[in-house]
Amino acid sequence: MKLQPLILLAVIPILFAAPPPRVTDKDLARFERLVTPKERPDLGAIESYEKAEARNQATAKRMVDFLNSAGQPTLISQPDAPAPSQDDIEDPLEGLFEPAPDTLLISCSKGIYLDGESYEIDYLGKVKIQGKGLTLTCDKQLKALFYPPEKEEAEKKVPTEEAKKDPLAKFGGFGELKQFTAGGNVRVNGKTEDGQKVYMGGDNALYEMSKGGELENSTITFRGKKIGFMMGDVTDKSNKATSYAMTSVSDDAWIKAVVRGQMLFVEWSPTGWLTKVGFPPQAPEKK
Amino acid sequence: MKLLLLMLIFLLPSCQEEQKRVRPTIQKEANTRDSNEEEKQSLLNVPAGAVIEDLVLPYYNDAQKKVSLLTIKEVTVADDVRIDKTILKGENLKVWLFDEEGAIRSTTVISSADYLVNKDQLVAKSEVLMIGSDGKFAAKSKGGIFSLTTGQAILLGPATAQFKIPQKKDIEAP
Repeated sequence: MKLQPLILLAVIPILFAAPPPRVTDKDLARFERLVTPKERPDLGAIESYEKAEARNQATAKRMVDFLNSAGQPTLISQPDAPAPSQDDIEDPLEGLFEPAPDTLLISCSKGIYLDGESYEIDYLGKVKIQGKGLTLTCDKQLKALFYPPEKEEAEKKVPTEEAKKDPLAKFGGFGELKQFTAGGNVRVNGKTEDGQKVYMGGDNALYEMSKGGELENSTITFRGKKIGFMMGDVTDKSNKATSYAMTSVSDDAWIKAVVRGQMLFVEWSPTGWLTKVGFPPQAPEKK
Repeated sequence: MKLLLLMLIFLLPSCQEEQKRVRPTIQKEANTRDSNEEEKQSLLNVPAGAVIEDLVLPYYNDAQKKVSLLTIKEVTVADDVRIDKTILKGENLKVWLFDEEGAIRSTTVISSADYLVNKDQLVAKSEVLMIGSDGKFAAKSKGGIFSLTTGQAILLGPATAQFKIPQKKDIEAP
């Protein structure tokens, strides 16, 4: 006995009985958001942000394989040892490496991973970077990416047979710093031009050096929901300058800080924020 | 039950044939093993207590490019009764890691470490100091693991590193 026609007949009333799909206010709002033409400023950093994320995923497998073979499969997931990102933890180098104007000092709790195949260094666990008047900390991982070392003209030529036999190796090094990607409760502390404290925080951040690996004009970008930003202290009523506290409520929100000298210059997306402004107290009016 | 027995009778000879096919390839691979590799393995046959000085162990990839170079000033052969294996304890070690172009990327100084011949790994439980060959990077930790065949390394935390950043170039007056 053929059952197919009977099944089809049984389905038709169910189809008629099902309520039509409803378009909620939320769906409409999303539609509006998607179709409305946006005027987003051309932020090179945002594009780099996505590229950096994709690159990190690609190289993660090789590190996991190595950690497995080295008998350290749980290194990344295991609970953290005392965190050097806390100021009260003693520096393991006992002052041998001091922050200087031309250096970046990085400490991490779980370890530093290096791979001969890539121009990258991974800092695992709780990480802290200090340099140029700002401090960046994160709780999971920090990846440093380098421009491959530039070769001299003589080296670029095809190596001769004699050169191939040369037992002395050439020195390459790591090259110039290109960018850092930080993950897990990232926090940045610095100062503005007029000496106000600046705080930025989020789940992930991209720290890009300017051309030539310089810190000057390097940028720090956060994007997405739950980005925090504070300039000055909105709770301090004696504050003489206007202070801001902001938190993002949109995936499209971004904030970008440019390092100039010992200061940070900050700009942020025009929408997607909850903002609290602290105004300086007004002088009493004279009668 | 009879059906199962019949299936086994047919399957067993085919499995044996498969084994015969695999064996020659394994033997072939074993025969083509590097003489370098054999020399490293022979270190494990040295009686416990022996001391070998100035050991130099280069590692190359399949394309014969340098991956790493390990030098050990003094290696002591020891028997580990717990795991019933010979271990090589090195003192005053240096590890050079190379990049894909064969140029030295970093030099690492280690005061003492275990050299695991079978895994081609170096396990350091003492202080490790790594310096980039261009002098712009330095790192220090309380231990580390180096995979000498792949050029991978982890400096175990807590670890600290320092980067030298180029200073802002002054704009020349016209």
